[in-house]
Amino acid sequence: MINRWIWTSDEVKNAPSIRAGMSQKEETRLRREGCKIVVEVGSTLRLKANPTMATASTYFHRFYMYHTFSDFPRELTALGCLFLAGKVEETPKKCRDICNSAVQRFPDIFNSYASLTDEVMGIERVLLQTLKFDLQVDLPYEALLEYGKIFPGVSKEQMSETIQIAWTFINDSYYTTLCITVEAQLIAIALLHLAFTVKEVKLGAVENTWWEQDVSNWSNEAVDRTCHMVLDFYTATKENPIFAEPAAVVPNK
Amino acid sequence: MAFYASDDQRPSGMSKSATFHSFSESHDENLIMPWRDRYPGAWDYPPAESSSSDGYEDEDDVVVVGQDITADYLGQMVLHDVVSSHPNPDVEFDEQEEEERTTTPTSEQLIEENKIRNGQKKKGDLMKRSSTFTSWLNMFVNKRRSGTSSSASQHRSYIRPSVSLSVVQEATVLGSDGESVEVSPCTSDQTPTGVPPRYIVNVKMRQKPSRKWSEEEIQKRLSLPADLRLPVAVVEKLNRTPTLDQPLTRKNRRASLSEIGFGKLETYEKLEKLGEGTYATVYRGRSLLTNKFVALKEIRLEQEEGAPCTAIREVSLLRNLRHANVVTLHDIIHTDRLLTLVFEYVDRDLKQYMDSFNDYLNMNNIRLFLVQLLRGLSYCHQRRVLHRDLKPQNLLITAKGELKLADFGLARAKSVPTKTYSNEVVTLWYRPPDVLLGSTDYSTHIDMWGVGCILFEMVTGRALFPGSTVDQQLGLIFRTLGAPRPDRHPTICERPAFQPYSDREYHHQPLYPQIPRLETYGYELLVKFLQYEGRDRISAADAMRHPYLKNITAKIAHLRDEQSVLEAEGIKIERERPLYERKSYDLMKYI
Repeated sequence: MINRWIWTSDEVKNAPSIRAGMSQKEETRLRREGCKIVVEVGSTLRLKANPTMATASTYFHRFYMYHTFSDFPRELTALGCLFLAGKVEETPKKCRDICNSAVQRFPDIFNSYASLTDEVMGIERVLLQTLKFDLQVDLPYEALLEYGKIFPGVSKEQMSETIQIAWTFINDSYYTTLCITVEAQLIAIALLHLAFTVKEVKLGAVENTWWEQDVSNWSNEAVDRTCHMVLDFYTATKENPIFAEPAAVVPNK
Repeated sequence: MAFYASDDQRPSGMSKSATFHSFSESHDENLIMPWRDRYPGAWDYPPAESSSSDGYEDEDDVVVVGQDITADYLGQMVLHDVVSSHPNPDVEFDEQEEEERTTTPTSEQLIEENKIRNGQKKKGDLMKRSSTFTSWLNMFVNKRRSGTSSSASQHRSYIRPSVSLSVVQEATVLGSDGESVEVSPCTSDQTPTGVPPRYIVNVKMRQKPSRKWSEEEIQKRLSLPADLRLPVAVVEKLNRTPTLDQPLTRKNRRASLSEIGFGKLETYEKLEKLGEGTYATVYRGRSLLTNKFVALKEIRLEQEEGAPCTAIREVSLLRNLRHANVVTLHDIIHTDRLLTLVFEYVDRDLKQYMDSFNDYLNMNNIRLFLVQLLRGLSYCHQRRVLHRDLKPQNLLITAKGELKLADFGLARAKSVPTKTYSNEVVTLWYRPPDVLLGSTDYSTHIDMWGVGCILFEMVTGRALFPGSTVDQQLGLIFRTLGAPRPDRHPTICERPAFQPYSDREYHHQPLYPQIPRLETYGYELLVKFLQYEGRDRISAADAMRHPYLKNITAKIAHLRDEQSVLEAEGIKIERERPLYERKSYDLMKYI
């Protein structure tokens, strides 16, 4: 099945905001900031990356493949995504609670909104229409745990450490557009592969390209590209942490 | 707008649509009316509560009846022009900066980086925005209120009702092209030896969707149902415009669909009210496109929390289910106060069907209903969707005798079992004992208990365990099936809630004599559904292979998902015999 929520990297580089004149760098920054808001506000509400925050971030990235950041400020969309993901993943949070946490955590951003809850409710409707009510998101976590079971040659301890690292990679991958360019199962494979590489785990009898039984004609280069999306994110945020640079005011249309 | 070549082609009756952009541009402070003023009562929030997951469960929606919908929605706007904006390959973009690839960091470094990153304090002033977004939202709402008269002409933003989300058609695009709609699960022979079978699906590498479409008639082209009667004007227009010659993009397809009338409330004529649920009111309606009856499920949107959780779940799950034994969601109409789901109309449910034949059904038909129920469930379970609320009222029976699963309001996509859900899910009578005792380990077996209860009810004409409280419900179950034993039913007996029941005595009323009509194989299958331990319950797919059903299953095995079992050779529903035609021993139960 062709997944309608997966874009090519060229399409992502040509997202609506960029077509409307925003620089690639700025667009990437806004995406990261939006996801940061999802994660920070979500953590305050004791939501988990799996499933609620990952789902919310996926909605966020999908949304900006249809709309521009100048039409819909990233902070409102982020809250809307979190609100909606809570409902879909059966971890519902009251709109008011989300807004209160957001104001507490990011006063600079949210204090300017007179009635934040109304804004979030409004964006929910836009989100539902943009996402066409297709709200069930495949996440890589389950597949990761399943793949964790297929390496009899790796010690249990080493395996659980590796899974832990891969899990963190997946969590952080949601800052990038990986979730709208690569299918969930492939993300799980690539980032587990990355975790193995990082940990220098010997796979024993299992082939180095162990995923080939499930995924055919996925080149090593493509796997590497997927891994590098996450690694590039780490490099970039090390140099320029999210929210560290003063945000430029998004020009209103 | 997007799909009119020029203004003069616009049918006079149809108003122009506005996009978000035109709204943003036509920003007008005078139009802003605070929401608070318009909904004075809506701001009296109840006292603060901790945000708990059960916050949604006890919603008791007030349903607005008798409001003048036609007047009310005149003035909402179409979003899909914006929604479906497609990447334009001609537009230039900044090349992504080539960032230096790092050498692979060690885990310690990464964790350290994480810490640094999380500890970062943002500085600077962030996004001091004017309230443009508020303004247009308000304006957006206000437009609907104030109508399209003065302000609309000023800004050329005539508004068209509602939003199209043509649901059914999107999926049929895939099916009709012969592309695989589903990803088949990994079969056991693909699993390496010595490793347990896993639930990992094979992924086909994505290909760019083919843009080359063969020249075909409009219905095939747009993957519309064959029975759809396209308005003549639309057919003419589509022939004039290059829509059909161009590659069919999501955008122009949706535009065409919208023109045909999908996603618009005025396409559906509302007839009488059929019933009222906890969060929705269901009306019988008629589609002006197909002239067929539809069921309109109206869900009122909450002022404070927006679309109800249950509605969102129902839509998002159902829109991905295409099966002859699952009710079809035709269309979604989303306005700012109502979410209307358009379902295929089925005139009765299993309960009503049984009532109309004095609770005495033909055994052949019972078997066919059971097969269809299992077929639909197995399809859902394969897609990791649990129904969670099986009962005769949620199984629709068409005039032909097809059974369709309905009411997925409580259904969910199966997720990691560590999560806890509310255990107030299944209607008491059909609720398995583990759930009654507070188990939140929801898995596909939660639905299978209900199948057993429904099978019993179809055969005997009465509910198996008609308890009105949890206590009574468990009492009825234990009395019929015998008290659970710690050695054989550990998960039941180890539940803390089971303690009060552990030393109770029950007057045993065995199941077997209660269901003399059911043959041995049928009884054997019934017992396999009614297992205390979830893992002991037979799965929907296995149940279809059980000797009681395997003859039917063999005949329908070749059918595609969307084909009805009645299409298979040798499968037919028999006429239910009215009371006066029955043999005397059948009538014994009425004496």
